[in-house]
Amino acid sequence: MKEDKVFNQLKEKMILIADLPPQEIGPFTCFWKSSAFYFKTMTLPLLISTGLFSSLTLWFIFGPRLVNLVSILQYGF
Amino acid sequence: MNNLSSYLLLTFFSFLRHVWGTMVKPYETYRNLTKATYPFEALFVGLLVAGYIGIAAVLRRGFVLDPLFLTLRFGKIFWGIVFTFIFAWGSLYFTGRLFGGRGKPLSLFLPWVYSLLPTTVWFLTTSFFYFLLPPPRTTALTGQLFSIVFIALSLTLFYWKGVLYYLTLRLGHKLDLVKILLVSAVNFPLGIVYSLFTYKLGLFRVPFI
Repeated sequence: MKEDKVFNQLKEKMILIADLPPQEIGPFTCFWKSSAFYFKTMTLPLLISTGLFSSLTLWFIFGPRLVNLVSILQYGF
Repeated sequence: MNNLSSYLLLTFFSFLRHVWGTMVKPYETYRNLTKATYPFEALFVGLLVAGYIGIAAVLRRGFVLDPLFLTLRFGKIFWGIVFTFIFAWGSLYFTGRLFGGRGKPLSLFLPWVYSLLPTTVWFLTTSFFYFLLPPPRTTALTGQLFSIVFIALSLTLFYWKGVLYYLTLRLGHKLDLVKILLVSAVNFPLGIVYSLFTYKLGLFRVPFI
Protein backbone atom coordinates (compact mmCIF):
# COMPACT_ATOMS: atom_id res chain seq x y z
CA MET A 1 0.00 0.00 0.00
CA LYS A 2 1.30 3.48 -0.85
CA GLU A 3 2.19 5.58 2.19
CA ASP A 4 0.31 8.87 2.53
CA LYS A 5 3.04 11.44 3.28
CA VAL A 6 0.70 14.35 4.01
CA PHE A 7 -1.32 12.26 6.46
CA ASN A 8 1.83 11.19 8.28
CA GLN A 9 3.08 14.78 8.49
CA LEU A 10 -0.28 15.94 9.84
CA LYS A 11 -0.29 13.10 12.37
CA GLU A 12 3.20 14.06 13.52
CA LYS A 13 2.13 17.70 13.90
CA MET A 14 -0.97 16.69 15.91
CA ILE A 15 1.14 14.56 18.26
CA LEU A 16 3.55 17.50 18.67
CA ILE A 17 0.71 19.87 19.58
CA ALA A 18 -1.10 17.44 21.89
CA ASP A 19 2.13 16.60 23.70
CA LEU A 20 2.29 19.95 25.51
CA PRO A 21 -0.32 21.09 28.04
CA PRO A 22 -2.02 24.36 26.97
CA GLN A 23 -0.75 27.49 28.68
CA GLU A 24 -3.58 28.83 30.88
CA ILE A 25 -2.91 31.77 33.21
CA GLY A 26 -6.42 33.04 33.91
CA PRO A 27 -7.21 36.54 32.63
CA PHE A 28 -3.66 36.93 31.25
CA THR A 29 -3.90 33.95 28.87
CA CYS A 30 -4.79 36.12 25.87
CA PHE A 31 -1.94 38.57 26.57
CA TRP A 32 0.51 35.71 27.13
CA LYS A 33 -0.44 33.99 23.87
CA SER A 34 -0.11 37.13 21.78
CA SER A 35 3.28 38.04 23.30
CA ALA A 36 4.50 34.42 22.99
CA PHE A 37 3.76 34.63 19.25
CA TYR A 38 6.24 37.53 18.90
CA PHE A 39 8.81 35.75 21.04
CA LYS A 40 8.55 32.69 18.81
CA THR A 41 8.80 34.56 15.50
CA MET A 42 11.14 37.51 16.16
CA THR A 43 13.16 36.51 19.21
CA LEU A 44 16.47 38.21 18.44
CA PRO A 45 15.14 41.72 17.60
CA LEU A 46 12.91 41.55 20.68
CA LEU A 47 15.76 40.50 22.96
CA ILE A 48 18.09 43.23 21.65
CA SER A 49 15.48 45.99 21.82
CA THR A 50 14.35 44.94 25.33
CA GLY A 51 17.99 44.84 26.50
CA LEU A 52 18.70 48.28 25.09
CA PHE A 53 15.48 49.75 26.45
CA SER A 54 16.15 48.30 29.95
CA SER A 55 19.70 49.63 29.89
CA LEU A 56 18.56 53.14 28.97
CA THR A 57 15.84 52.98 31.63
CA LEU A 58 18.45 52.03 34.24
CA TRP A 59 20.64 54.93 33.11
CA PHE A 60 17.71 57.35 33.42
CA ILE A 61 17.02 56.06 36.95
CA PHE A 62 20.58 55.73 38.30
CA GLY A 63 22.48 58.12 36.03
CA PRO A 64 26.30 58.09 36.30
CA ARG A 65 26.09 55.67 39.27
CA LEU A 66 25.56 52.92 36.67
CA VAL A 67 29.33 52.89 36.03
CA ASN A 68 29.89 51.46 39.53
CA LEU A 69 27.76 48.44 38.67
CA VAL A 70 29.64 47.98 35.39
CA SER A 71 33.00 48.17 37.21
CA ILE A 72 31.88 45.42 39.60
CA LEU A 73 30.51 43.28 36.75
CA GLN A 74 33.73 43.67 34.77
CA TYR A 75 35.61 41.90 37.57
CA GLY A 76 33.02 39.11 37.52
CA PHE A 77 34.29 36.86 34.70
CA MET B 1 36.76 5.68 10.67
CA ASN B 2 34.73 7.04 7.77
CA ASN B 3 31.53 6.58 9.72
CA LEU B 4 32.99 8.34 12.72
CA SER B 5 34.17 11.35 10.70
CA SER B 6 30.83 11.68 8.88
CA TYR B 7 29.01 11.40 12.23
CA LEU B 8 31.23 14.14 13.69
CA LEU B 9 30.64 16.32 10.63
CA LEU B 10 26.87 15.84 10.89
CA THR B 11 27.03 16.62 14.61
CA PHE B 12 29.05 19.77 13.91
CA PHE B 13 26.56 21.03 11.31
CA SER B 14 23.71 20.20 13.64
CA PHE B 15 25.52 22.20 16.36
CA LEU B 16 25.90 25.23 14.04
CA ARG B 17 22.22 25.02 13.03
CA HIS B 18 21.14 24.80 16.65
CA VAL B 19 23.36 27.71 17.76
CA TRP B 20 21.73 29.92 15.12
CA GLY B 21 18.32 28.45 15.96
CA THR B 22 18.57 29.25 19.69
CA MET B 23 18.91 32.92 18.69
CA VAL B 24 16.33 33.27 15.94
CA LYS B 25 13.90 30.35 16.45
CA PRO B 26 14.46 29.10 20.00
CA TYR B 27 11.04 27.46 20.36
CA GLU B 28 11.42 25.28 17.25
CA THR B 29 15.08 24.56 17.99
CA TYR B 30 14.38 23.49 21.55
CA ARG B 31 11.68 21.11 20.34
CA ASN B 32 14.41 19.42 18.27
CA LEU B 33 16.93 19.49 21.10
CA THR B 34 14.65 17.62 23.49
CA LYS B 35 14.74 14.69 21.06
CA ALA B 36 18.54 14.54 21.61
CA THR B 37 19.27 13.23 18.09
CA TYR B 38 22.97 14.15 18.35
CA PRO B 39 23.83 14.26 22.07
CA PHE B 40 27.53 14.66 21.21
CA GLU B 41 26.78 18.22 20.08
CA ALA B 42 27.41 19.00 23.74
CA LEU B 43 31.12 18.48 23.00
CA PHE B 44 31.21 21.56 20.76
CA VAL B 45 29.54 23.70 23.41
CA GLY B 46 32.09 22.20 25.81
CA LEU B 47 34.91 23.34 23.51
CA LEU B 48 33.52 26.90 23.56
CA VAL B 49 33.38 26.80 27.36
CA ALA B 50 36.93 25.40 27.44
CA GLY B 51 38.02 28.37 25.29
CA TYR B 52 36.58 30.72 27.89
CA ILE B 53 38.28 28.80 30.73
CA GLY B 54 41.63 29.16 28.94
CA ILE B 55 41.18 32.91 28.60
CA ALA B 56 39.97 33.28 32.19
CA ALA B 57 42.92 31.23 33.50
CA VAL B 58 45.34 33.66 31.80
CA LEU B 59 43.54 36.92 32.64
CA ARG B 60 41.87 36.48 36.03
CA ARG B 61 44.88 37.15 38.27
CA GLY B 62 46.70 39.51 35.93
CA PHE B 63 48.33 38.40 32.68
CA VAL B 64 50.03 35.17 33.87
CA LEU B 65 51.62 32.62 31.52
CA ASP B 66 53.26 30.26 34.02
CA PRO B 67 52.31 26.70 32.85
CA LEU B 68 51.91 25.24 36.35
CA PHE B 69 49.75 28.12 37.53
CA LEU B 70 47.67 28.01 34.32
CA THR B 71 47.10 24.23 34.61
CA LEU B 72 45.97 24.53 38.23
CA ARG B 73 43.78 27.54 37.45
CA PHE B 74 42.28 25.83 34.35
CA GLY B 75 41.54 22.68 36.35
CA LYS B 76 39.89 24.63 39.16
CA ILE B 77 37.57 26.61 36.85
CA PHE B 78 36.89 23.53 34.67
CA TRP B 79 35.76 21.35 37.57
CA GLY B 80 33.80 24.27 39.00
CA ILE B 81 31.87 24.62 35.73
CA VAL B 82 31.33 20.85 35.36
CA PHE B 83 30.06 20.53 38.92
CA THR B 84 27.82 23.62 38.54
CA PHE B 85 26.36 22.19 35.34
CA ILE B 86 25.60 18.81 36.96
CA PHE B 87 24.12 20.55 40.01
CA ALA B 88 21.83 22.80 37.91
CA TRP B 89 20.81 20.00 35.53
CA GLY B 90 20.07 17.57 38.38
CA SER B 91 18.24 20.20 40.39
CA LEU B 92 16.04 21.17 37.40
CA TYR B 93 15.34 17.52 36.65
CA PHE B 94 14.35 16.52 40.19
CA THR B 95 12.33 19.64 41.05
CA GLY B 96 10.62 19.40 37.65
CA ARG B 97 9.64 15.79 38.40
CA LEU B 98 8.41 16.91 41.80
CA PHE B 99 5.91 19.26 40.12
CA GLY B 100 4.68 16.71 37.57
CA GLY B 101 7.29 17.11 34.82
CA ARG B 102 7.46 14.27 32.28
CA GLY B 103 11.01 14.85 31.06
CA LYS B 104 13.89 12.39 31.14
CA PRO B 105 17.46 13.40 32.05
CA LEU B 106 18.48 13.23 28.37
CA SER B 107 15.55 15.38 27.17
CA LEU B 108 16.78 18.09 29.53
CA PHE B 109 20.47 17.58 28.82
CA LEU B 110 20.92 19.24 25.40
CA PRO B 111 18.49 22.13 26.13
CA TRP B 112 20.40 22.93 29.30
CA VAL B 113 23.76 22.57 27.52
CA TYR B 114 22.61 25.08 24.87
CA SER B 115 21.39 27.43 27.59
CA LEU B 116 25.09 27.77 28.50
CA LEU B 117 25.60 29.72 25.25
CA PRO B 118 24.45 33.13 26.59
CA THR B 119 26.45 32.48 29.78
CA THR B 120 29.60 31.64 27.79
CA VAL B 121 29.13 34.64 25.48
CA TRP B 122 28.78 36.94 28.51
CA PHE B 123 31.89 35.56 30.20
CA LEU B 124 33.88 35.72 26.94
CA THR B 125 32.87 39.31 26.14
CA THR B 126 33.46 40.40 29.74
CA SER B 127 36.97 38.92 29.73
CA PHE B 128 37.58 40.57 26.33
CA PHE B 129 36.45 43.98 27.66
CA TYR B 130 38.48 43.41 30.84
CA PHE B 131 41.56 43.05 28.65
CA LEU B 132 40.64 45.90 26.27
CA LEU B 133 39.21 48.43 28.77
CA PRO B 134 40.23 47.38 32.30
CA PRO B 135 37.91 48.55 35.11
CA PRO B 136 37.14 50.72 37.07
CA ARG B 137 35.04 52.89 34.78
CA THR B 138 34.85 56.65 35.23
CA THR B 139 31.78 58.89 35.08
CA ALA B 140 33.14 60.66 31.96
CA LEU B 141 30.92 60.60 28.87
CA THR B 142 32.83 57.68 27.32
CA GLY B 143 32.65 55.72 30.58
CA GLN B 144 28.89 56.23 30.76
CA LEU B 145 28.41 55.31 27.09
CA PHE B 146 30.42 52.13 27.59
CA SER B 147 28.36 51.35 30.70
CA ILE B 148 25.07 51.69 28.78
CA VAL B 149 26.36 49.40 26.01
CA PHE B 150 27.75 46.87 28.51
CA ILE B 151 24.52 46.75 30.53
CA ALA B 152 22.46 46.47 27.30
CA LEU B 153 24.61 43.54 26.18
CA SER B 154 24.45 41.88 29.60
CA LEU B 155 20.67 42.27 29.84
CA THR B 156 20.13 40.99 26.29
CA LEU B 157 22.14 37.88 27.14
CA PHE B 158 20.33 37.59 30.49
CA TYR B 159 16.90 37.70 28.77
CA TRP B 160 18.13 35.17 26.20
CA LYS B 161 19.17 32.91 29.07
CA GLY B 162 15.72 33.41 30.62
CA VAL B 163 14.01 32.35 27.39
CA LEU B 164 16.21 29.25 27.10
CA TYR B 165 15.63 28.38 30.79
CA TYR B 166 11.87 28.67 30.28
CA LEU B 167 12.00 26.53 27.11
CA THR B 168 14.12 23.87 28.85
CA LEU B 169 11.37 23.36 31.41
CA ARG B 170 8.47 23.93 29.02
CA LEU B 171 9.65 21.54 26.30
CA GLY B 172 12.03 19.28 28.22
CA HIS B 173 9.72 18.68 31.18
CA LYS B 174 6.44 19.67 29.45
CA LEU B 175 5.43 21.97 32.30
CA ASP B 176 3.04 24.92 32.12
CA LEU B 177 3.92 28.45 33.25
CA VAL B 178 2.55 28.09 36.81
CA LYS B 179 4.60 24.93 37.40
CA ILE B 180 7.67 26.55 35.84
CA LEU B 181 7.28 29.41 38.34
CA LEU B 182 6.99 26.87 41.18
CA VAL B 183 10.12 25.03 40.00
CA SER B 184 11.91 28.39 39.83
CA ALA B 185 10.72 29.32 43.33
CA VAL B 186 12.55 26.21 44.59
CA ASN B 187 15.59 26.48 42.33
CA PHE B 188 16.42 30.18 42.56
CA PRO B 189 17.09 30.21 46.34
CA LEU B 190 19.11 27.00 45.87
CA GLY B 191 21.06 28.76 43.10
CA ILE B 192 21.73 31.77 45.35
CA VAL B 193 23.04 29.56 48.17
CA TYR B 194 25.16 27.60 45.68
CA SER B 195 26.55 30.83 44.18
CA LEU B 196 27.54 32.10 47.64
CA PHE B 197 29.25 28.77 48.27
CA THR B 198 31.27 28.94 45.02
CA TYR B 199 32.10 32.61 45.74
CA LYS B 200 33.46 31.65 49.18
CA LEU B 201 35.52 28.89 47.53
CA GLY B 202 37.00 31.51 45.19
CA LEU B 203 35.65 29.73 42.08
CA PHE B 204 33.32 32.36 40.62
CA ARG B 205 32.41 35.96 41.35
CA VAL B 206 29.44 35.69 38.98
CA PRO B 207 28.18 32.07 38.93
CA PHE B 208 28.65 30.20 35.64
CA ILE B 209 25.07 28.85 35.45
